[in-house]
Amino acid sequence: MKKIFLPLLFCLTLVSCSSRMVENKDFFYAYDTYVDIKTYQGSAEDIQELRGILETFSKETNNYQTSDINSVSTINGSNSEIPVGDNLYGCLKQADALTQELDTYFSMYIGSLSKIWKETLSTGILPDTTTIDAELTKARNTSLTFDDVNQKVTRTGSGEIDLGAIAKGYALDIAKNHFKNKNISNYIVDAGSSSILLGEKVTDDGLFTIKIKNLSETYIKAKNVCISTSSISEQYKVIDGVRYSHIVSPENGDARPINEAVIVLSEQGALGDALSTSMMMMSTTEVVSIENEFHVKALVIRDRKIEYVNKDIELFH
Amino acid sequence: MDKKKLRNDLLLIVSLLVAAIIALIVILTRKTDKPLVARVYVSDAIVETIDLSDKTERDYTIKGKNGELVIHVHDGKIKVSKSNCPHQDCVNQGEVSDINHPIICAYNEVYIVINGDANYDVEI
Amino acid sequence: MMKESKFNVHKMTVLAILTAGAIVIGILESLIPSIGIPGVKLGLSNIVILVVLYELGIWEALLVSLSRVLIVSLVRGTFLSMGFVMSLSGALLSLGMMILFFLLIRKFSIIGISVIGALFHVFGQIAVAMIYLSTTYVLYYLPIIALSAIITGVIVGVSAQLIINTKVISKQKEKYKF
Repeated sequence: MKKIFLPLLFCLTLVSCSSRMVENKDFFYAYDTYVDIKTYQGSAEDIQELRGILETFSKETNNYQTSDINSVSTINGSNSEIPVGDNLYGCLKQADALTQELDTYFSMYIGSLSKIWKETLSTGILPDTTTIDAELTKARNTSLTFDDVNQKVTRTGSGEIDLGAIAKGYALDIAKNHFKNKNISNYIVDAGSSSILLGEKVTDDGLFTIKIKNLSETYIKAKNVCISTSSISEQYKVIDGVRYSHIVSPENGDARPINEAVIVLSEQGALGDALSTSMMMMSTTEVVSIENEFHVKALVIRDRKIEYVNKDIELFH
Repeated sequence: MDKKKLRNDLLLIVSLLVAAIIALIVILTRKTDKPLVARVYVSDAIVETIDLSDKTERDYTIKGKNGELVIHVHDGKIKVSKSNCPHQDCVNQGEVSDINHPIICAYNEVYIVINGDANYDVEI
Repeated sequence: MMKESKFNVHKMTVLAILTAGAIVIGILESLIPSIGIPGVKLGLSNIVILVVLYELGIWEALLVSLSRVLIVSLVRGTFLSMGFVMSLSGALLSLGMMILFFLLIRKFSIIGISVIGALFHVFGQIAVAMIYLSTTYVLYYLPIIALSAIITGVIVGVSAQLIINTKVISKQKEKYKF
């Protein structure tokens, strides 16, 4: 009996020791950028599952290419009823609601105008006012009707849907939900530095330290929050001494944001993403009013220094 | 024995001992307030940066030049828990938690060092 | 009449026995785990090297030292590895410095020279480790290793002196004229 007992005990100890935690991470290309997921909890399968969901969502929100599933491109090519998946449906609905609420600052229907400005950034040729006006009219005359029962959307009008300013944020919300379902509280999701989802660190205060690129040696600390950054420092072109970027105003069709970069801390990723884009064209007073309306915190950078920072955001150097 | 030479010996040995002890004290008492990070090098390149401020107990598997080793991190301490090297010097090294104190696995050309200068988790 | 020749069978025999001794010490020593930097050893074989240096000459010491490094590495299976290069570098540097102080800077007794030998032995080993791993982080272990080398050096020096005092080799030298 003794001869079996000890080796058996030994084997059992080995088995219990093997359920150790490893750093689970994944790094993949989606949403036109690299997405980095890191967590010390859960399993590799949990992360793989999330990656699958996010990659699918990336295909769904793509308005440049069609794929095997119904995506924004599909909707942009039709005015009939299109059935879409859960995530895309949710995102379209939220984008539509924000378009109506934020009116002059955010529109999901200026897809073709955005494409024109993207061309400008590489050719250097400014679009003429007639084109811009036509595009704006098109956008204003476009809308979506939602069939909640069958999860179908119908586009009216010829404006192109562009979820670029909200998709990454929405992806963060998908991730947050996924982690919640898996009981994972420690995580970072980093989508190209512009959309970050933070869980909690396993330290006394659980706070992550975040470095702000546009400023020298400036950091903030946060946890359980979404951080959305809009910035012109990476994508812009100077034409006749003026800096043009990829962020287009739905009000006047122009691509000259007032601010250099905006960082928004919000509970909800999609909201934060949309607001950080919109705030690029807002004055400080407007920013504060939006902050209060939507319960978010913002930091505005202009001319490489802080133009405004919410009083609840503590800065470290 | 030549008394003069013996005296020289004593001087030599004492001064060397003193120098070594001072150096030892300097190295052992180096502290830093910054959150610690451990960097894992394989043949001169950093393959992993491990945040030691996060107390989650976890493992990392590193592919070295001639095999694999497993690094175990817990409560700000790091050690090599498994390695395929013949001498197991790195495993015998045990836990390390102070800065600039390396764990070396020559067989796999891996070394792990704790520095105090990773002061952010993510950049925006 | 016995010619005083470099090739003396009795001398060879004595050297062989001493070399064997150095090898055995080297093998046993390699079983002791190194602190921190793999491959750094105490340098106990220096007991033999010192005796040979003092009693038989510089070239003889070199011969014994190199043979020791080579054969221990062959036996342990570390020939041409980083450990071998470390060992070789340590042995050469150590012997070189010991010869320097023994011949030219005659200010120290065998104990002092042993300490110098022990220190440069580990310096040579650490230098090679630094080059192979391309890092200066190994220097973290230098103080503790140096400390142990100094202590080992004293013990080795005293032991070597005791062996010389027994006049075992001097008697052989006298008897067989080498």
